[in-house]
Amino acid sequence: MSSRRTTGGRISEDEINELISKLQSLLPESRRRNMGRASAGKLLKETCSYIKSLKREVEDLSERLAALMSTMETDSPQAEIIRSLLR
Amino acid sequence: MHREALAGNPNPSRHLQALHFLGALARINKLRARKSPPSRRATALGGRRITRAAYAAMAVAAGPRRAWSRAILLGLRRNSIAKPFLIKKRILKPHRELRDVGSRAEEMEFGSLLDETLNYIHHLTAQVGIMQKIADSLCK
Repeated sequence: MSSRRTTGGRISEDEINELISKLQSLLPESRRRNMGRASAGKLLKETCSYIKSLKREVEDLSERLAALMSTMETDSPQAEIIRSLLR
Repeated sequence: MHREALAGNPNPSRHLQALHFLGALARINKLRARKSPPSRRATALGGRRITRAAYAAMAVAAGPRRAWSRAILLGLRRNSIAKPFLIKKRILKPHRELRDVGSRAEEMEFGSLLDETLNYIHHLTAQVGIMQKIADSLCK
């Protein structure tokens, strides 16, 4: 996802507002409650916990993949799928 | 090989992220195949290796233009010459990447921080999706 940046470094207030509403639309809780504009503090707090939960998900999935791969034989069809994807 | 697939792709970075992660998984699996049978410790170690591969894939897909991806890429480069027991501390500390970004927050203005955060979340959610799809296909 690329967002256009103003040259010169500083981001305008309009762009900040746009970023804030983009962020708000991503956050699961804000989306559910369909809030009007949340306070910046609340938004940042929710963003932090959302990122934490996403990182936890990555770790849980890593454990799951490790377990799945340990039961995978080297010549199973799944291994072949992965090999063909990488060719 | 990948070029045709990437050409019409509206979201090339996600494609790159998936391919990079799959490559890392294949390498990890090769390492594991050499040491059988798998112990419980080996599985835990594999899980941590896969987590590292996940963040590496995210950083590669995001490229060096982001502060958060630079923090990961530089950390990975440092680790390749660092002692093995340092790896766990460096990469797996939670929020390390954002903290690196945040420690420069005084210099980084609010808008840039929001921008970085949005991009980080974008790649994190992409990574979760990639890993879920792989796990599901391995279950079949």
